[in-house]
Amino acid sequence: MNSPLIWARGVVKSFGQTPALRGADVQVTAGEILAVMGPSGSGKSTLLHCLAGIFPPDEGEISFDGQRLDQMDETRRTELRRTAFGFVFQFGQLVPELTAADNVALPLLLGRVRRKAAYQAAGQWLTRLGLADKGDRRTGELSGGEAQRVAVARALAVGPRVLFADEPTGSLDSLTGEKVMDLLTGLAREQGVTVVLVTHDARVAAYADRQAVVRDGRVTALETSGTSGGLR
Amino acid sequence: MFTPFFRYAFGVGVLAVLFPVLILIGTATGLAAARREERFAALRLVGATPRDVSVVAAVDSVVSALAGTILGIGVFLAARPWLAGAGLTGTRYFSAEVTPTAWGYLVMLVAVPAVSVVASLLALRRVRISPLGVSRRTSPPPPSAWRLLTLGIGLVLFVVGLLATTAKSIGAPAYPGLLIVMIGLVIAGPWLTAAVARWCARVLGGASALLATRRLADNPKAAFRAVRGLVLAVFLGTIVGVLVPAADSLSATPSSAALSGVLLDTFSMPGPGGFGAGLAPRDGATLVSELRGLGGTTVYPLYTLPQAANPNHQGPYIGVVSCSVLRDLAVLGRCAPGLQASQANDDNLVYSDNPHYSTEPFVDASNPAYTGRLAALPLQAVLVTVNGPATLERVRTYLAVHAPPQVSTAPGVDATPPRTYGEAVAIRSSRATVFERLVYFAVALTILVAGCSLAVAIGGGLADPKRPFTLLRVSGTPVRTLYRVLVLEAVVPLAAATLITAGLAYGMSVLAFLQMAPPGTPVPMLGHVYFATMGAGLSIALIVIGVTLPLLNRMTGPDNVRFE
Repeated sequence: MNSPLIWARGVVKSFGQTPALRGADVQVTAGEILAVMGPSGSGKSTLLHCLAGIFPPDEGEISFDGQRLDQMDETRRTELRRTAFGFVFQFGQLVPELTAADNVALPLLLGRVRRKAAYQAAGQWLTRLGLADKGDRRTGELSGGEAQRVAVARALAVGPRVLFADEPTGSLDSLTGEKVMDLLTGLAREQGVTVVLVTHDARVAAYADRQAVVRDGRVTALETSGTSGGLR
Repeated sequence: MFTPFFRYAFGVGVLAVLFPVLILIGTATGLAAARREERFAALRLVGATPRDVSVVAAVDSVVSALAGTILGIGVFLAARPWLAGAGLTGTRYFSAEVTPTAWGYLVMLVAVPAVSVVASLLALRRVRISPLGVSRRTSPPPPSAWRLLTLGIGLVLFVVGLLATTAKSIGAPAYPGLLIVMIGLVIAGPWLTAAVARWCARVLGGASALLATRRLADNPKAAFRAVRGLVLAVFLGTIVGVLVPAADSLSATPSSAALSGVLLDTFSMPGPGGFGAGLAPRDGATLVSELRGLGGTTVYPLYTLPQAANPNHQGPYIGVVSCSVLRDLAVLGRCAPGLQASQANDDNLVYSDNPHYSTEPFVDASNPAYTGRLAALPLQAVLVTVNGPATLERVRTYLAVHAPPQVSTAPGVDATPPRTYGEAVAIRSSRATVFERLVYFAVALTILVAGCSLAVAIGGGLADPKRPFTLLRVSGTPVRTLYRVLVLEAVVPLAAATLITAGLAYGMSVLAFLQMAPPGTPVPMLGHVYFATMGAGLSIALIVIGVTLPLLNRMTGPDNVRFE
């Protein structure tokens, strides 16, 4: 069995007096798609944030590719997020003053890729996501689904090893959500990118290879999905 | 207590600073109101009307503005002793002289909150607050190049005025041209800001520049709004910085040097009833005789042409001078051969203490002779040369005691006491220096206020990019990259406005100077004080802008992703 790319053991995280995680354990192998599910307030987003190095845990251990995230300082975790992780959130969080191409090229420019190469890569990613003719549109001129596809392109353009997605279809209708998930999971598998996605939608979770159920700050179940694609 | 000159100078300084201060009040209050829009939406949800929301916003702004005004007055009272001793005009003041009256305090306590209320209500007009939430009105279209039209008209008018400019006066169209250029800069500002942002986007590389310049180009009106107050101040300050020192060089005419040590006392002044006659002949003769009796003096009397006292007198000549006077003071001109006395148009020499206007002789061979008895004429003025400072003071004392009181040239204008032409030039130069210093101070203050406006605009505007900036931080963007974005967003409009305005003002004032100056006069340069003032103002403004950076760190920290 492959050693896990990401693992977490006994992770505890509180915000003030409110415990969000009370000893969560999870493992993610390289290349797999893991869906983290649970009711509202269960701690699933907090678990994702800890796995992604956004927050250090109060207690417990988290490892990525043999490196202990819980022992890294913020500077090192920031660098890791920039070089090895990609993020897609529910509302996309695109920069509204930039065009679609600008948004996709931005993380490449931040990684000191030359402007011409960055925009070439951005154009290629937009084409793969069916947005070849939308590159010069601003986010306000895109539909919800198009904006989320731009967000996916932005996350994948830097060539991450892990893609973290928090409710990536939460603001989309079911049909558009399916299209986005088809593209996201299809491209991730093609690129060999590991995906950790948080969702409360069983149809979205069905895209995953495995599902982790979080309740009261603990991972109470780890199940293999019945199919590796969404409901058609 | 303050002469009309100082009142005028301070008035100009206040105007230069008032505009940007009003903008700062408006920007700060407007942003504060806009940031409460979600709270207002909640009020609407439970049944408040739009009018109720406006009242809440107004009360909100009045309370905070009043608190700020009271705090500001406290800071002023604490700093007052230092302000009084600052010596801005070359002299120190008593603390009581640099404090507002009771009415002044009252006006501040009323006006500042009033402006805040207006600004907050205007800010709420930019968003639509409904019970279901807040929706922003659509982004404004990009500024059109037509905004340059006013600026162009002003420049054309100014050039037309320059073509009519002589050594003694600037062509009349130049003045409205100057005013229209200033207005045109404010109108064209957003277009210029957008153009500079687009240029920076091409020239500067990297993610920070991309973010900053695109955000500027997206809403250049908002970016320029925070700095437009400094356009007027920088424009005037640059013109003053060029022309005031250059005016000194224009005063260094041959006649001004030759007359530098010559004292002038005038006994008649032009007025609506024509020229006053001056001292009666016997009194005038006594005065001249006694001045000569002081020792060490040479007295040159100037007489009033009899017909000049008639209000209907139309001729160009108003005085009479002995040709022996002109032989001694050759700079004044010379009589036609064979004359004993000549009629003279001494308007510029006697009724203006600026020797610049005396570059031409006031008597030459074409002036008609005066054939009457000079002793029978009223004494219009005396020119006195002395052999030393002590003699000069004795002459002044004598004239103060025995000469008639000085008459001013206009209501509210102090009469000019007897003084040498050199002293008049020095006073004029000193006033110009004080004026220049006051304007520079106002410019530096204005740049600082503009920096504060930018800081407020940026800090208050962080709510809009909070989500995308938070994700950038989450995605591994170092916070210093976002700091660079904010700094660029502030520096580009601030620097562009300052440089473009200063460059335009410098060019226009140099052109005006070259039109008026004798050929071969070197192009006036801006002095180190000007650059130091601009540099200090910009540096402090940047420091103030830097104060907003920790706010960005807090608002976009990874902790915020919990609430997305």
